Amino acid sequence: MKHNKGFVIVIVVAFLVMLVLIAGVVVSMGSGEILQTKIANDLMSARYAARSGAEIMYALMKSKEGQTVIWPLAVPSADSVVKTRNAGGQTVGTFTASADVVTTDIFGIVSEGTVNGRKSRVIVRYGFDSPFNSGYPLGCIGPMSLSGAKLLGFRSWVRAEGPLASGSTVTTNNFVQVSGETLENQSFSAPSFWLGDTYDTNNDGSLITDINSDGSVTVADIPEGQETIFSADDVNSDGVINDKDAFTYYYTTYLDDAANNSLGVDLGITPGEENYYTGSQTFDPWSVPVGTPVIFVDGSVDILFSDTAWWGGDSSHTIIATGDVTVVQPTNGLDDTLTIVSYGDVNTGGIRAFGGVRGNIVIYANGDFNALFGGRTDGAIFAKGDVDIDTVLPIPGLLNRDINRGDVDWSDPANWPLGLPPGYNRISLLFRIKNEATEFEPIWQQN
Amino acid sequence: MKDRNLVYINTALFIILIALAVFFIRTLRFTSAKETKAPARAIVPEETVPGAAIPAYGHKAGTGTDRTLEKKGIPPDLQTLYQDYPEDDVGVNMVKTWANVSPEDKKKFMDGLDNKIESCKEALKVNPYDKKSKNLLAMSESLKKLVSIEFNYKPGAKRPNDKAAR
Repeated sequence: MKHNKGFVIVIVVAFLVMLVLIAGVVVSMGSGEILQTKIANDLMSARYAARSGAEIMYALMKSKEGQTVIWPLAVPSADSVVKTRNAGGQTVGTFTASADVVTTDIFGIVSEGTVNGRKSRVIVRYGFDSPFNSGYPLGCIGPMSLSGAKLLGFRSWVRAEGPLASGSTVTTNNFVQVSGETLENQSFSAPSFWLGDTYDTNNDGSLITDINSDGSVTVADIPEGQETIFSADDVNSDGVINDKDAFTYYYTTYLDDAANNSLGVDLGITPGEENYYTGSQTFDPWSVPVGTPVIFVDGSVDILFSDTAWWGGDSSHTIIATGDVTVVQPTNGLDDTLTIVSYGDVNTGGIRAFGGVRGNIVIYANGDFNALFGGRTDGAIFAKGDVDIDTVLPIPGLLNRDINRGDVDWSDPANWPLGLPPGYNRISLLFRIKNEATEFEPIWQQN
Repeated sequence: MKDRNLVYINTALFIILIALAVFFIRTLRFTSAKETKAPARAIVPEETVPGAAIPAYGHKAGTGTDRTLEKKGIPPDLQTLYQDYPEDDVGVNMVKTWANVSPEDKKKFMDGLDNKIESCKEALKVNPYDKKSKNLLAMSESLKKLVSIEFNYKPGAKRPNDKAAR
């Protein structure tokens, strides 16, 4: 009897084990179902959030009809929250929506909805037209100043085709004629050369954070044992990881690679290669070999006319410099484009009567853009800092300054100049969305 | 069955019971955590990034290899350049244009440059960091050099260029 009692305990425990097993399976299945339902609901909600974003972006684009559109365009983050309709509105999720040109007459809206960490993306394409798609003829984030000159009866004029745009103010004197719009206090964002996270220059996923938040990573920010990561991201070996490293790495390593540039060839702009110049340079049209598409100068550049021969055919050419670029009497032919990308300032000046740029000039100055005396530029100029245009002396004919629009359509990314900084502001004038019933039926895509 | 054996069996069964309970709890936690950590993807509108396969504006394959410049050789000076190439390609004939400027305007221009050079130098004495004065001084000196001696710039003669440092 004593033995039988013990055996009952065994049976009871075995029974309990079975019960626990069954309960576990039931609970597991139930939890899985609940989880799956929650995921499905979140994904569905995220999809609706993404669609809301696309529709809000469309409404924003529609409101821009007849005006100047700056590409890319995004819904402000303050408007990117999806809420329930009850009083007060409970937050359901968020979205990020942006629009940019896809081809010469199509723009795309990309909207990504997020609900409880789950994401869904919607892409929709619309037709559009615009009489002018290019960069700003003259734009900057800092203040812009334009002034002609007068002495007694003599005047020299600044004539700008416009639109002129500034993230701050635009000041002109009585000897400035602007035929297009003048836009002040624009919310511009400057091009960024970081390929991934800020301070991860080589985009390898390893980075050192700016612990002391001084806008750069220095030796003071390096945790013990992470010196190798610092060295790898400090590409110009100046003891600081900052935007200049991103600029240098973007051009000399990333864009130089045949896989990442529109020519599909090695550009020869890594240190030691034929199109990489160390130290400050003085150039004239006989300096850089004919047909060189791009050069990189680790320093400042002084140029008379151009750094390479501009005549004898299409000589589109790009100069990238980590220092200031000064061009005296910039000159090229009708079929040419000279592109200048400077981490510092870009200074130019000359004599209007000598002509100047007959083709196009595209300038990005990470510092200021200054144009002194006379001359003519056709194209796109943008400075992260200030713009100062001053004819200085009142000698009519010799020292007028003309700033015209370029004649290359940028609505197709294939037409962008080689080396154009990522995020360079582009515009469409008198923007119009094509009729969705008769001209271009929108194309929706979800994933 | 002996009491001792029963104790062993019961102990083993209890251990299995507890192990099962722990296993289920851990499995449920693990599944839940795994499902909620969806990796965030940045929005990149691929269509708007310049296509690597598409040739860029003005940079056609072969540019520079079939240019008439290479056939003709490098002109020794600007005057020859203007004779050899059309204005659309080479630009306004600066030498001719400068020659046609009236002597009064030339003098006014050169005097104006001299005055600017002097005033910039004075300004830089007061404030060596005055950026505009620095730029204006450099540009004034460059333009003066360019047009001096009746536009006697000889591009055939190479300007100093630190190629050795490349």
